[in-house]
Parts: sequence; structure tokens; C-alpha cells
Amino acid sequence: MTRDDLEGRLSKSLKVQADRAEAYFLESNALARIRRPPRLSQGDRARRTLFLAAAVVVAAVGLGLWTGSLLPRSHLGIGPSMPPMTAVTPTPANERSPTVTPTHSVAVTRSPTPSGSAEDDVGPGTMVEISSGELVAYTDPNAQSAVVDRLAEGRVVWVSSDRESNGERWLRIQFASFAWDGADLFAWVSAESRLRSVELSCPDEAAVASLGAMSAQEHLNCFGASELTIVGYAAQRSAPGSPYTGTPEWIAQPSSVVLLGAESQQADTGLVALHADPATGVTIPTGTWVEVVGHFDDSAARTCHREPLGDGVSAETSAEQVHHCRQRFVVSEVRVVDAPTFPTPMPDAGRRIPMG
Amino acid sequence: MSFDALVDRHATRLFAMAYIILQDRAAAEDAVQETLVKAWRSMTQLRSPERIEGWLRRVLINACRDQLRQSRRRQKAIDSLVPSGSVSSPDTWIAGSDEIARAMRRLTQEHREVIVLRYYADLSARAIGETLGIPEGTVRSRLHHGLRALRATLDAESRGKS
Repeated sequence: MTRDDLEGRLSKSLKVQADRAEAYFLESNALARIRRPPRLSQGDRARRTLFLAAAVVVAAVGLGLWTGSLLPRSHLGIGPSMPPMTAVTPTPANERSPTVTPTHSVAVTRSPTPSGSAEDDVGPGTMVEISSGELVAYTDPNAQSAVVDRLAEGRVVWVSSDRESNGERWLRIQFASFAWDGADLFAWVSAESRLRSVELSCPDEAAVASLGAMSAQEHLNCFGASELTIVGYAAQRSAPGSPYTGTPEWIAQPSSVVLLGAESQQADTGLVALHADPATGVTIPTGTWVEVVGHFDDSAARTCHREPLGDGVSAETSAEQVHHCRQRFVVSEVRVVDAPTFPTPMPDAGRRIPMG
Repeated sequence: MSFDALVDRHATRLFAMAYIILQDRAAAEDAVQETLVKAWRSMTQLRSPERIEGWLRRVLINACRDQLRQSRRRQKAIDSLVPSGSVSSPDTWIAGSDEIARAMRRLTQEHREVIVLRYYADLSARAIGETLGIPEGTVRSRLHHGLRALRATLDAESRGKS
């Protein structure tokens, strides 16, 4: 399914849902319910009673003071009661900014390996696809440990190692957790689950769209430590959150600077997180089009150390901590370039999404 | 403007947006009511009345987040009383059997918010950032991952059918 197809279906579905919601709203007397004062729970009623009692006491004291001319009239708030407008600044709950690694490809093609049973093909170092059902990923190689995520059928993950535990074969996988906005997490899955290996075909050239469509491990498999030149729109995102803390911070932690697709400024043309070693003096300007030169598999990754911040994720081995940092894209050069010419108007220039 | 006039003018569209975000009509009604009460109380001090739509959207998103936090607290009690998926309700009628609607329900709140503002309210990434109080890059990042999560769920469903 192309991005345009998905966007079209999405717009249409949301419009249908909205039409139905509006119809329900109008037919169900909801307008009358909304015009009534907000419903109060028993706890709210008790709090309101206490509040009113306190208000009566305060009013009585205030009246006493007023009649004694201790306060000017203007302090009594005489006139229509209108609370001041409060500045509404949304505070996103559980703000977790992403590290970038989508799993489905626009430029990378994967096909099932045409051989043998699943377990013959599925082993350390392979990319595998969940062929049916939902796969539960655990913090440890047993089903009693905490659930890290649930992966839908069709997801492609990388197997880093395997282990026997309680007579069962378990696989250590790395995957982009959508629950963590694309952060690459390691976790355990039972090899009894239905998995099949997939072959990888690397894109001819590195671009934001193709890199954004690949998994972190595919970046390493396809490009190694080669110097890549990519053009895109550099953007700042919220201070990234992470289920891990680590050092060196600039490579072990998610970056707040991303490169968006150069094909257009639309949302789903991929994005790549950019890391820069402060010791090199490289700073990446944001809010502008840039050409960056950089690479995966940076030598600084060898010193990487990461620890989970809570119980909900799996602790990484030393090798995995280093491996994780090898998957970061490290920028060695950057220069500002002119914005490319777009074949279609950009969304910010007033592009309208068809609703029907 | 009277409270009733405010309700008449904005409630229906706000309810549709709240419903798509929350997927629960009772919670959506509460979010709309909270939004309109706040708006009405502050109406006289709104300096640019022509910007009321955007302001209402901001208040609504916050009200939806409040509802979601409350619903998480209520969820265990509800789960123990209501057999899941066995009852035909207005919620199932509104959402319909559309596979996109089903996939939307599996998205995180943050992803659902940006997708609704982009593809239902038809806002640009910059306007979504202003509504949610987050940088434009974060909006694009959330749209990117939200669409990918949506696509992954749809792909999985279509494989299940074939």
C-alpha cells in the first residue's frame, strides 16, 4: 500500500467515523446533556459541600471586614464573576520522543527465504518476519517475565542470538517498538512462535526515504561504515525520552535532530535521526535544508554503555549496547543547501487533503 | 455569546473529533462539555474571536487526555463487568467495521492525536505543533511512526485474511 493510498483511506475512514459520530450526537439528545452542568461524583459533591462551607466562612469574615471599612469595595469582586482566561499549554502525557527505525520498506524489498522449516532458517544474524499471529516480546527468556511489546503479524525483526530455557528455544530479537515511537529495543520471543526468515535487498543509494524505511540492523547490513551523503530538511523535535540512559550521551541517547525526506515535506517520506560528536565541532542547523555526510558504525560506539531506566524493558548485554550505538547515523560534515523544488505544493503551503 | 449558543455552534464537530481520539462516546461527551464550559467562562477575554476554533481544539485535546487518564483508572473495574466485544453498542456502530478504524484503536494516544488533526481537521504540521505545544519536527516524527504503526496493523490484517 502506498503512502497516498493509506492517506486516502485514512481521510475517508475518519470522515465516515466523524459523520456517524455527529449523527449519533444529534439524535441522542447529547446537546441537552452537554448544556447541563457537569455531572458530579459523590466525592465531587463532598468536596463541593466543603468548598461552599469554606466560602460561607470567608464571605462572612469579608463582610465583617467590609462593614468595618477595613477593605475597599473593589476587593470584594462585585460584578459579574468571570474567571480569567487560562493559557492552555498542552503537556503531552508520557512524552517519549522517538528514535527512528521503521520496519516496512518503500525502497527495500524483502522476500521470504524459500526453504525448510522456520527454525532451520531462523537464527542469530537473520532478519525474520512474523508470519502469523501476534508475537509477545518479553524482558527475559520466559513467559512469566514482563511484556516489552506485542508485535503484529508482518513485522520484520532482527535475531541477534538464541538460548535454550526450560526446554524451549528462545530468540533475542531487536525491533522498532511503535509503543516507544520507533525506539529499537531488544527482547526475547519464543522460537515456537511462527517466524520465517526474509532475504534483504539493499537500495541502490542512500536517501532519507529509503533509510527511514529500513530497520536499524538493515542500515548496518547494507551500508556498514561507508560515508553517505544525504539531503533533507533538518528539524528539531521535543527533548527525546528513552527507556535507557547511556554514555557517551551524544550517541547512546536518542537525538533531538532528525532529517526529513527531501522528496517532499510530507509526513511519511521517512526520517533519519542525526548524531554529532561534540568533540568534532559539528553542529547541525535546524529548520533548513541541509546536505549531510555521515556514516553508521562509528568508532565511538565501542565505548557505549546503556542501562534501562525501569523494569519494562530488557537489560542489554555489553555487546548489544555497543551494537545499538553502531546503528546510529553519525554526521561528520553538514552544509546548508537550497530547498528542492517540489512537484506538488507542500502541506504548509495550504495543501488540502481530499476528504471524500 | 450564551453558553447554549456556544454549544449549538461547536459541540457537534468537537464531539466528532473527541470521539475519534477517545473511541468512547461517554468520555467524548464529557470532554466536549469540559471544553465548552472552560471556553464559555473565558470567552470575554478571548482577544481574537476568529481564532476560537484553534483554541477550542487545544482545550479539547487536553480534555481528551484528562478523560484518558480517568478511563485508565476505571478500566480494571469495567473490564471485570463487561464482556469484551460481545455487545453491539453505539460505539461499535459509530466506529463501524472499517479496518482503518480498528487499526486506529491500536495506536497510542499521541499518534492518534496527530493523525486526527492532520487527516480529519486537515491541519498542517506547523498548526498541529501549535495546537499540541510541540515542535514541528516532533509532529512529523509522530505522524511518521503513527502511519507506520497503522500500516503494519493493516498489513497484518490483510495477511490474516489471505
